[in-house]
Amino acid sequence: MTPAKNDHRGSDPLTSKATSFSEDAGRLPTGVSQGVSAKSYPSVRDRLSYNWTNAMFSWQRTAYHFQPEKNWMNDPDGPLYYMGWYHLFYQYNPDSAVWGNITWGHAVSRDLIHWFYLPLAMVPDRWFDAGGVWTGSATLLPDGRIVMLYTGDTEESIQIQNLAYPANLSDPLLLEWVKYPDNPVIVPPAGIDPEEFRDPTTAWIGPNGTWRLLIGTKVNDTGMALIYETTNFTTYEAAPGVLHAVNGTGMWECVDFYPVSTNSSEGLETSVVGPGVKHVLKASLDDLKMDYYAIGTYDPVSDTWTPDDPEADVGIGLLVDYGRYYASKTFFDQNTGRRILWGWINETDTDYDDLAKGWASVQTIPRVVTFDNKTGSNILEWPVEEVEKLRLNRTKFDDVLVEAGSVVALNISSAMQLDISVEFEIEGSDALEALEESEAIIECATAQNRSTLGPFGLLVLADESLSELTPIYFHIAKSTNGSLTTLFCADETRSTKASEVFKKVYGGPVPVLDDEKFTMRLLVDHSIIESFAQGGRTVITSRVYPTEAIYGAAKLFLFNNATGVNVTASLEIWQMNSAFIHPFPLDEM
Amino acid sequence: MKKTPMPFTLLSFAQLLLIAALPSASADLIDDTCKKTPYPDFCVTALRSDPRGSTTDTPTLGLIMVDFVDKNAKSTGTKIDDLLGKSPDPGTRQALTSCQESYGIISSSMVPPSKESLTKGDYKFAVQYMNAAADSASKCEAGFGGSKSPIYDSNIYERNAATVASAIASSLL
Repeated sequence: MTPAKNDHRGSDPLTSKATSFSEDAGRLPTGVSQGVSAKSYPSVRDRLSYNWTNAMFSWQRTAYHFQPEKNWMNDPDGPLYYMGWYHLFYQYNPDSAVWGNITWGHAVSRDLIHWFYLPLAMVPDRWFDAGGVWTGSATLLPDGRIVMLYTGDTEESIQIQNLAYPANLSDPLLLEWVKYPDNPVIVPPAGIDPEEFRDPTTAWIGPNGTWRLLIGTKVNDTGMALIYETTNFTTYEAAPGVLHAVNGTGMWECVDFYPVSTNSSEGLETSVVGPGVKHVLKASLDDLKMDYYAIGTYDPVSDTWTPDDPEADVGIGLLVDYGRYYASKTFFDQNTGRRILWGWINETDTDYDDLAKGWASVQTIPRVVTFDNKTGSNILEWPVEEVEKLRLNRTKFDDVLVEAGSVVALNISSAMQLDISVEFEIEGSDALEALEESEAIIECATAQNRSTLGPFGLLVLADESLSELTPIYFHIAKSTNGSLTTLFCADETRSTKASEVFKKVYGGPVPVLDDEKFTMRLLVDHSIIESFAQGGRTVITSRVYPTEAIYGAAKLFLFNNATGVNVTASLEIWQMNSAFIHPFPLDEM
Repeated sequence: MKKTPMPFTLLSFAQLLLIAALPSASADLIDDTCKKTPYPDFCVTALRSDPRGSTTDTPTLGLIMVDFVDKNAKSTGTKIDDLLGKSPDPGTRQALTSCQESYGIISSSMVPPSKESLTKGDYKFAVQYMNAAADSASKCEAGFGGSKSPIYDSNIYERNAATVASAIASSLL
């Protein structure tokens, strides 16, 4: 039982892996005292770990998402583009499928999709990071230098910030890294808990030519971003104020701060300010294991940031991703002029399962981030177009009728590696007006909860008999103030028969404008599903571990659980190739 | 009259009252920390039994509890070895073997990241891995089919200690 404080929307995704204790040890199943054999109560046996076979475990490995060959990974670090290569670093345990002994893993790609593993970039081999080479970010300087700031943990458990840089800037693979010998460059200031001071951001240049970066912390329960200024990246001054703080949000991990253009879909370099620019401030909330963001205005003179909507401030408003997702970080891709977002996807099976299969965690497909100038109040996230290179054959379905209360099978060759685009239309727009008050729904609930206008969507990784299925869907309802709300949801509660897997319903509201159809894009890749609604206004990442709906038994269906309307769906479904991620052939160089 | 000898400091009555009324700082921290856990009495008893319990540092209280999880896991492993050596019936043998594996994993793979997490200040991992340990102790007990297992006390202890360790880490988030 975790303390109530950790409960958010019913449960805490990263830690609520335990089943209810009150049902377990020491309590006899009813009936045993009356002489009925305990073996006839399958619920007791069900709580043991599922009898995973090697086939089931190896099916869970993704085909085109980045993950190391084995062991534990967490936060993406220092993403950057340099001399023709995209670089990804990541928190990595070289010894085990659980967190610990953290090093920086390293991989490179030409196209953000086909990755090559490289040797570890940094290991905890200095006193200033002996406790772990933790999360950090890259800053590319105008003169071509690369500066990496990262959190080190000392043996005395103090979180400090260290500087590292490539040993050889003419090596496009950036294989070797040098740690500044006089590290740390930033230590916890007075009044800040030395164990709540980490994850330096990419720096940006201010009006006086000084660089600034942010480090997240908390004071009591107020999460905040501290500002540090530097001209040389080796000596820093703490700014007198904070960039922003929000009461009640707790520790801000993996702070990210970046400009977006309000009048174009171009990405912006991190130092850009001016008219037509807003700034996104994002924090990973340690308390809730969720990534929150808000859009606002940055004042470079006072070094403060103000949210456009204080009621949807950082930590209390929009989520970067409504699913299993954390520690996200963006970078400016100067090669193509895009702002690109990485996010860490943890497992929802048990740590025991992870040890048994030998690995844990996946990264999302990188997403382009832009400002949504139709709504003006959120960002859009969309898989980088390079992922479309993996598309093999396409199957098209036009205007498939899905009647109220029905399921329609989609005949495709395979259903475990897919790129799906689907458009839904509701038959009879007067149904929207006829929606009654009593159906007010404010949160995603299981897809089995039916109402007049939903839910409807897709059943992903479902077997023929629907004994396992993952519904991804829209649910339209009247919100408490009478206006129509659309929720976009992913229901993992029946995604697997394995009872030890943490299964819940994820999702959140998605703005749907008057002239818009209901659209979804899904990337299905074995045990991960990334779902994008309305061009990326609301995104949900799901981890699922089916036992039956795997390999050839996995199918795809349309469904409509609405009671009052039919929907028609038009789809394009591509089979997706593997990205064949493998070690860089260094010995062939 | 003789003067009061030097070694004796004459305390006023008020000062004596004050000293008697002051609780020790360490007992307060244990009480405050344990109140936030699902098994406060168990928590207090366990922490007070350890000399490090007089620390003024919540993460260290968490570390003490993780040590109890580890010690109990190892001693339970030994008990299971003994029981397996006594030729139990197939159902019991199967359950014991599964528990043996679980307890081994607690020591080898749940305790180290939990200690690292509490030591280094990224507390969410101690929450995660101690929850996993508590869960596996419950599952071990459940594997005996509903009647009290021969290692019932060990399983309950492990569940309690790991749950408390997780809750202490959680309170630090």
